[in-house]
Amino acid sequence: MYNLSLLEKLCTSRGISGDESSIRDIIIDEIKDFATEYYTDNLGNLIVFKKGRYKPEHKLMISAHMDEVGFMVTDITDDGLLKFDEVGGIVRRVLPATSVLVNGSVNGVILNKPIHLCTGDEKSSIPKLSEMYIDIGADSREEALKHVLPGDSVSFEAFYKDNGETIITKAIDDRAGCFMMIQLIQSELEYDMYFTFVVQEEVGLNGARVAAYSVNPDFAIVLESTTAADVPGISGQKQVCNVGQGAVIGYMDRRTIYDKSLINEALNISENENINLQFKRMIAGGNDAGVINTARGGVRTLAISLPCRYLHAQLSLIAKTDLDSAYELTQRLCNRICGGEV
Amino acid sequence: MEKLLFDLCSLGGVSGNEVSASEYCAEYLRRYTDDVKIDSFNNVIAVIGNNNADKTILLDAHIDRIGFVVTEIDDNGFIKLEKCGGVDVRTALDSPVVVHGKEDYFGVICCMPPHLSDGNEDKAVSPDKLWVDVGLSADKVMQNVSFGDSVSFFAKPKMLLNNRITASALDNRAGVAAILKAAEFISKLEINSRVIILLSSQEETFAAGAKTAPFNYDIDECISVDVSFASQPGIDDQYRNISLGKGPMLCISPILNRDLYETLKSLCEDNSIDYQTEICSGNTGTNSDHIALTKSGVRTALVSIPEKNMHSQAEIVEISDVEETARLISLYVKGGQNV
Repeated sequence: MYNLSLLEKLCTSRGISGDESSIRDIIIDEIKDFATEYYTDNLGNLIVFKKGRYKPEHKLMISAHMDEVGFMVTDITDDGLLKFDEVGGIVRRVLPATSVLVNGSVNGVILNKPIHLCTGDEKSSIPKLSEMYIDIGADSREEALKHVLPGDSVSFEAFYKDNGETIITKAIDDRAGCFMMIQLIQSELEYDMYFTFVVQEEVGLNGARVAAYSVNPDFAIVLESTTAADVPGISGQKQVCNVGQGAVIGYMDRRTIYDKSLINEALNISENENINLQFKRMIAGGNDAGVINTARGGVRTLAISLPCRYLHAQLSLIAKTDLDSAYELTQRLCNRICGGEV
Repeated sequence: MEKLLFDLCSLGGVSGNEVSASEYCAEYLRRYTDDVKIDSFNNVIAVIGNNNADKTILLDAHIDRIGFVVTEIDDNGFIKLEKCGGVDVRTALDSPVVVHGKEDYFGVICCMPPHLSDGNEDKAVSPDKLWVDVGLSADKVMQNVSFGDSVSFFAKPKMLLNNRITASALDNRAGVAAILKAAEFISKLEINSRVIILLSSQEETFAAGAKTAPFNYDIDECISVDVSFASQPGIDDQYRNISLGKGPMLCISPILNRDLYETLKSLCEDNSIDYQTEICSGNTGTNSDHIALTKSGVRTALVSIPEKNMHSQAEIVEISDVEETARLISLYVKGGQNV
């Protein structure tokens, strides 16, 4: 039912917060023949309206963010190495010896002092970001400046593997959400709906704040990825949710208390239509719902997430069945909301 | 050379499981000699040159790479790893790996999410908590992956500026590439010695290849090729003056033969090969320590290709250093005449 090569294209393309244009271009290319109207706003959000067969009872906005976590070049040393800082929250322990791409074209790797030359605690310590460097092969600042400037974007190297059951890739957060929205726009809709592909979620939910103002919806659904910590050594509640057990919703996270009637409706749909759904078992994380639900006079909001291992790092993992569950749940919940059943 | 390095670094061949790399190299060497074999340790041994010569020269580079072995599979299909060779666990988390089971499976090394890291961001993962997630059901994993299977880091080889390559396993596929290239030069020469090419196994673990394969020959001299440290941030000892692109490193060490060092140095000077000097006041920590002690002793030299990020999945060497190493070895075998 899906064109998974589009998901691969979205995940392997680059678009750190504040530099999402290449992702937006891919999306525009995909939706332009299906959307009723679309425009890019002053912050770079792509706002899409598509007419359905009926006029909805409630104005619904579906939102996913286009940006991914990454880095920005802050300085270049006399030896031609790049200093950098994170854009969005990144698990620092994954960084030593990781491959990166500067401006989408210059290959680089994060240096790691050889273990043979480390002494004492150094052998098991992860350096501070301020002590890490990206090596692009340049020998001097002058040489590096021919290829890179301070302020340039740095993204993790592209990687995408689908083994039939799961997908391991860069930037599933939140290209999977963008992917599901594109699928919806390309399908026949029952009701008129708004879709916002927003910028800068990872650095403070900036895009969603203004998009929600512009669209002025009654209801919103945020499509996201959320931490699944179902890995060895972690049990019970600390797992948060489990890969392969369906779409994820929560009562509350670090940003939002979700709309009770939307939660109940999601549960009804799951039960009646046999769609796998699980609850987040820990109050952790946060997403664009936090600014959408308080936009203007308030928006009734639910986040539907994919359980995703290894978020905020180079590679994440999702199950394909969870993608199906999240998509089917979203589709049905949209119709219930627009049809006035919530 | 770029393609050869890309090919070599894309092969498996973790210590003790070198077969895929050994077969590739044996096939490569058959272009230059029919006398090529792979022994029970996965050593590749090829003989070139004059079989009746008085002098036998051994050219050695280890073919294995660091990695992991599978020690357990849990009920959810997660695969437990232990180090096989000097893996730097600081680089492990969230890294892509290849599990060399019945087929090759891509996986990622499990990593704790931020809400559970408990302020441990400054600490590397403990080596006894390394698990791989291949994203397959436990049944499928059990059927296709066994205890003892090897796991290697996956890193697509790439070019950096200045004709530098970054890849995993450049330690020591860079040395292997230099010797394969030297074999090509040597095969075109009339030479007065017998040359044994040894691509040796298990250097990263127990040096079993270098301890055993040379025993079957009466070797007079050996040049062993490996990688060594080039300067990068945090290095403030003698290696701070070693740079990529400034030529092979010639080692001075008690266990190495000083005359051979002087000969190699003169060859560099006479043939416009840049070289750098490496000092190891004890042993060298390479195959040469073992080869020098074969039978009644072998005059041994160590030539190293400068490398950054050693023992990580993003090692870096400059291709010209590999090429110049190959040229130096060939000049040596030829007895100083131009190749």
